Amino acid sequence: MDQTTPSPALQVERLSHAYGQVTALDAVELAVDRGELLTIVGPSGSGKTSLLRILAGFETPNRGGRLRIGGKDMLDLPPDRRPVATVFQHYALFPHLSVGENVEYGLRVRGVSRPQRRARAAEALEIMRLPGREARRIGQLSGGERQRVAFARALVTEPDILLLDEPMGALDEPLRRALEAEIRGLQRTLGTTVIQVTHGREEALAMSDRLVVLRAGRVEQDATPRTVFERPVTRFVAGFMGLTNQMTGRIVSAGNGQVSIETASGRFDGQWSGAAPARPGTHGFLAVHPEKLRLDPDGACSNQLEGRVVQAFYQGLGSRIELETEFGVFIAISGCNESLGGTINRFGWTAGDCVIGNLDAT
Amino acid sequence: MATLRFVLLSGSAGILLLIYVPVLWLALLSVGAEPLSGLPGGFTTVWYLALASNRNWVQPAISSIEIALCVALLCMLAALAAGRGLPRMRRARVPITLAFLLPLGIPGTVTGLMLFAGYRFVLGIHMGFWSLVLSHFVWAFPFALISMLVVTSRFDHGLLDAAADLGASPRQRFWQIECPLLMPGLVGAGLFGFLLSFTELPRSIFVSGAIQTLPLFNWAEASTQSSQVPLIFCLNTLLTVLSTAASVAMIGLLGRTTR
Repeated sequence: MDQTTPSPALQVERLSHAYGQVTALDAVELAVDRGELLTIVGPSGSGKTSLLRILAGFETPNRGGRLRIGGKDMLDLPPDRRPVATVFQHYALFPHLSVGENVEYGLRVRGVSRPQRRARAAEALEIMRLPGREARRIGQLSGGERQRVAFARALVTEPDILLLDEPMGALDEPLRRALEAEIRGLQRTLGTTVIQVTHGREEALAMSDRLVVLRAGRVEQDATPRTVFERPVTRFVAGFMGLTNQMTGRIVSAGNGQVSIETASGRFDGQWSGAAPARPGTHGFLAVHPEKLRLDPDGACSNQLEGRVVQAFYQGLGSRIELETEFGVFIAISGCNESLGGTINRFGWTAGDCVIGNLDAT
Repeated sequence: MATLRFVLLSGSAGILLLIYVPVLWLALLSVGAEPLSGLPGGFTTVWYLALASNRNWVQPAISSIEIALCVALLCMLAALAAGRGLPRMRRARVPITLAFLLPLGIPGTVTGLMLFAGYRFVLGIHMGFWSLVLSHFVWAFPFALISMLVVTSRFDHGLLDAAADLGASPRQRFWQIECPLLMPGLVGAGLFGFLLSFTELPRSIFVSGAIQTLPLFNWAEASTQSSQVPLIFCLNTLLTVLSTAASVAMIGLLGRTTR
C-alpha cells in the first residue's frame, strides 16, 4: 500500500445484500475521498437505505463484499465501534434527555469528563446556531431545530464520515433550501466527509460533489451532478433526472459526441451520453427535459414534432403543457400562459439540449 | 348537548360516590363509639388504641409486605422481558400475548384451587410463602404486562440504533436509553404487582399453607363474630390511607420521569 497518500475515506467493493429472495444491493462499488460530499439517489427500493445502514453497521451484508473506512475493514465491527455518525431521517433524538444531554451523549459513552463534554456540546450547538439551548427539552423544539440538534449530536464525536439519511425529508420546502446551503457550508468549513441519501433531486444536484444513482441495488451512474444531469448514461437515469420526454430508436450516425437516432417519428439529433462510444445500428434512447422543449420553434431547433395540447397547468412563471403526439405524450414547460387547450402546436428542441444514449438491456 | 354534559357529569359523580362513600363511611365508623351498629357517631379513638396494643395483625402485615415486594420484583422482571420481546415477534405476537392475558378471565377461587393442586401435586411445592408469591404473580402478571406493553409497543427502536451509532455499547444502550424510556411501564408493573398481591384473597385461601397474610387475617377476623371486628375497621382505614398515599406518590414520580 502506498504510504504517502492517505487511504480514501470509504471504499466499498462488490457489496451485495439480500432480504430473503429480494436483492437489495448487487455488487456495489464505491469510493469516497476525504472531505467529499457524496449523494446517493434512487427510487424507493433501490437499496440506498440498505447501503447507508450497512455503512453504519446496523446491517451486515449477507452476499459478500468489502467495506473499508480510512483503509480499515469495517464489516466485523459493530455500529458502536465504527468511526461514523448518522443524522437519521426522523433525527432519533432521545426524548428523555435535554438538548445538551443529547449532544453530549456520544462523548458521555466515550468516558469524556463532564466539564469537557459540556464545553464541546456548547461549541457544537454554537456551530449549529443554537447557542445556550442546552436545557431545552426535545419536545419543545421545532422541526428545523431538531435537525440542528441531530447534526450537533453527530458532529460532536468528530466522525470520519457523517451519514445523512434523508436529512431534509421531514422539513418544509423553504427550510430545506436554507439548510441545504447551511449543511454545504458547514461541510466545507469542517472538511468532514459526508455521504447522504435522498430522493430529492434538487438537493442532490445542489449540494453534492458527486452523485451516485442506484437502481435495483446496482450503481447506474457515478459522476458529478452536472454530468449526471446533462449526460445521463441510461434511460433510467435520464428519467430520474427529470428528462421525462423520451423516445427509443436506432442509432444511425455517430461522431464526435454528436449522434442521430432514427425513431418511429423521424430522425433526431443530440449529444451522445452513453457510457461506451456510440455504435450505429444499436438500439438507443432520446431524452429531453420539459424545460427544454419549445413551442413554436424557430430554425435553431433541428428536432421538431407536432402535437395537440391536451392539458395545460398554470404554474406561475409558466405553464406545464401536455402535448399528445402519435408517438406518446410530451411535456413542455412554456413561458406562455395563454390558454392553448385543444390547439395543434409544433414544438421542438435543439440538438444541444437533447440526450441520446444506449438503450439499457432491461 | 347540555343534556349529554349533564348525564356524563352525573354519571361520573355517581361512580366516584360508589367508590369513595364506603371508604369514608368505614373511616367514620372506625372513630365511632358504636361501629358494629353500622352508623357513625360519638367520636372516639379507643379502637385505634386497642389496635396499637393488639399485636395479632403485625405478623400478617409483615408477611403481606414481603410477599408483595417479591411479587412486584417478579412482575417487573417478567413484564420487562415479555414486554420487550413480544413487540419484536411477528406471527407469534398475538397468540402469545393472548395466552399471557387469558388468566384474567378465570375466577380467583378457581385459579386458587388449580394452583393448589398444580403446585402441591405436580410441582411438589410446599404451601407457604413461595406458593403465595407464585400464585399472586400469576394473578398480577397480566396487569403488569399490559402496563409494560403500553410503553414497549410504542418504543422507537431507532433510538437504540442512534445510541449505538454514537458509540454506546449494548449495556449502555440498555441502561441509558431503553430503561429510562421504559420506566413508566416498569413502575406500573411493579405497582400492579405490589397492590394486587397485597390485597389478594381468593387464591391465598388455597395456597397459603401456614402463612397468614393481611387479607386472610382481615377475612378471618371479620367472619368471626368476635369483639375484634372494630379493630378491622381501623386497620383497613389505615391501609387505605397508606396505599392511597403510596399510589399518589408513585403516580407523581411517574409523571416527573416521563415529562
